[in-house]
Amino acid sequence: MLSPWWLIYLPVLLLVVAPLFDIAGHRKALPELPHAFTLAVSLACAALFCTVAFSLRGASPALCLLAYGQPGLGTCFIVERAGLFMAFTALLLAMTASLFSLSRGPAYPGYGVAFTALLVGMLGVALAGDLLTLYVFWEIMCLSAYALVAMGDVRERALEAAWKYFIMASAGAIIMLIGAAIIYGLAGTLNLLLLAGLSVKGASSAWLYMALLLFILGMGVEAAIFPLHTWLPDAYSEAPTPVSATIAGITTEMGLYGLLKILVVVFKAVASVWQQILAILCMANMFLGNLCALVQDDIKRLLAYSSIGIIGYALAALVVLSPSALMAVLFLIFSHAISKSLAFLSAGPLASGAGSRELTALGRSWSRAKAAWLALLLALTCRAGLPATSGFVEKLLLLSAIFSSPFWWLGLVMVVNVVIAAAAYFRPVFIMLRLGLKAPKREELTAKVPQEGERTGLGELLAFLILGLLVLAVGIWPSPVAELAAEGAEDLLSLGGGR
Amino acid sequence: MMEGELLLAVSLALLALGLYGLAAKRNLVRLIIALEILVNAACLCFTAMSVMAGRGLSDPLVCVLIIIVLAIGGCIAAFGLALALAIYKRLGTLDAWELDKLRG
Repeated sequence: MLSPWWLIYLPVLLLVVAPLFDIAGHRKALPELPHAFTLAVSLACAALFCTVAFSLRGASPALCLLAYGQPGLGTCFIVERAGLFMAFTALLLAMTASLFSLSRGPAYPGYGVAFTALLVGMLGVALAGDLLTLYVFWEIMCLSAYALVAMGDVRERALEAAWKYFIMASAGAIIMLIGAAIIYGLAGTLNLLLLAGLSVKGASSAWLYMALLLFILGMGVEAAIFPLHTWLPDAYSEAPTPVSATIAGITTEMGLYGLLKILVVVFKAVASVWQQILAILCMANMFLGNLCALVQDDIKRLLAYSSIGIIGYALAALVVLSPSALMAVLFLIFSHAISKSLAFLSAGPLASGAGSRELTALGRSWSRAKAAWLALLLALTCRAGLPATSGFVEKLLLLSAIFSSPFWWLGLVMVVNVVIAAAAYFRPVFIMLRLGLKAPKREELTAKVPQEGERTGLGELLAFLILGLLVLAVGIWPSPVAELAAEGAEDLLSLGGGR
Repeated sequence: MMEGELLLAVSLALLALGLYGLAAKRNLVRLIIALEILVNAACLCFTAMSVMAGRGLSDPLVCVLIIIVLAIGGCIAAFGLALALAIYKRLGTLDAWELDKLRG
């Protein structure tokens, strides 16, 4: 029987040895070695998480507490199924991103270490059981994300995006820490399980509201909640392709999951307060993200702005706070992760092949890179919410959860936004179809022979296939993922002390 | 009891100072210094809370936390300085307001 402690040990041990592979890759002229290492890390962690998840099956709620030292004082991890769900999504995206970069040649020095650190940070945030552990892994996740963004192809722009991201998210993390200090002053512990017991007793005071505000402010930067989202479009559009795919797919959502866990577990007693705050913020997020996406001509900025809209949907479901709404949030995170990751992975090579990120340039590159063109088309139709893709099911689950709650008016706002988002996504789809299906002129045909470096590699193709098939499979047969998400929601609510 | 309130007041003053620095300063290095002031404010806030809750200055959780948080603060400063250096080498400026190429 494998000890669940390996869930923590293995990623951290792999992070410690990661620099060796990076250095070896650069010294021995093996540019693929760091990518192969990150692929191995994600596969090994996925296998380990699978074994532990299977050993937890059947229990309800399935909690496994990994505590070190005296309760309330020592560090603590909580293995529950919502965290495992998030961890699996992160591992899946890390795997496809590594597969993609395997066929894209050498990376910037340090890329392998930073990518492994990003993955380890996300796994830690998903499993953290006390506020100090959460903060430590949060910083690991954020610091490696800034470094990865700074490695973008156009260095000047990437550095600027990384700087904005760094200043905003670091200040946010520290503000969250001050919130943790107030919680500590109120309760005398940072352990989430003990805090859940305390907040049920109803310790509502000005200090508690202050702490709540600091947590929403601090974690809201990483989760891109309006008005703290301004770093997001820059960072997503300037980061290297596999990094945008990972950060857009799961890192921001992991920030949202951290906030969700704190709100549901620690601030359950003052739920009515944060529900009102989030109800306002979620509408701002939805309208801002989707309307800005509607007018973008740059494919990466379009995808980035629509991510802000997605955060708005997730916040709307968080306001509702019923088991079905939390299930819809987890499902949304998974569905958004696979399709957004697919969109970024396919838009990257198309844009670098065409020399431009304009929608019209991408539409014309059908003859140059057919696999990437098809993958981008599938990802965009999925985000637009076409039936038989996961994007349709995600919106259906969310809307049905919101409409069956007292916050039904948020559902109306969301319907309006789903329509705006569909318009924002069908615009690039139509541009691509119109320009791609038009027979290319003869001089274009002769000019468009793929160069050696431009050809779609095997790893790239595999990444497209895995994500594309998942998008279709989850859209046609969503019940396995929906069941896992429902189990996760059940565990989250039981952490917060009953329904 | 007065000790706790005094510590809290200093911590809040540092918080205000750090936030002011982040909002008003243009030099990248000064912005990193403002971040470090915020880290110290958070650490001091933990001490103040521990004293005000009657656990004194030597609460083990707070001591451990402050050591770890200061180490992370060091990482933040190191990363920020590396980024500022790269920006200076590439763009030839340390002025945050000149980083305005990304819009829209």
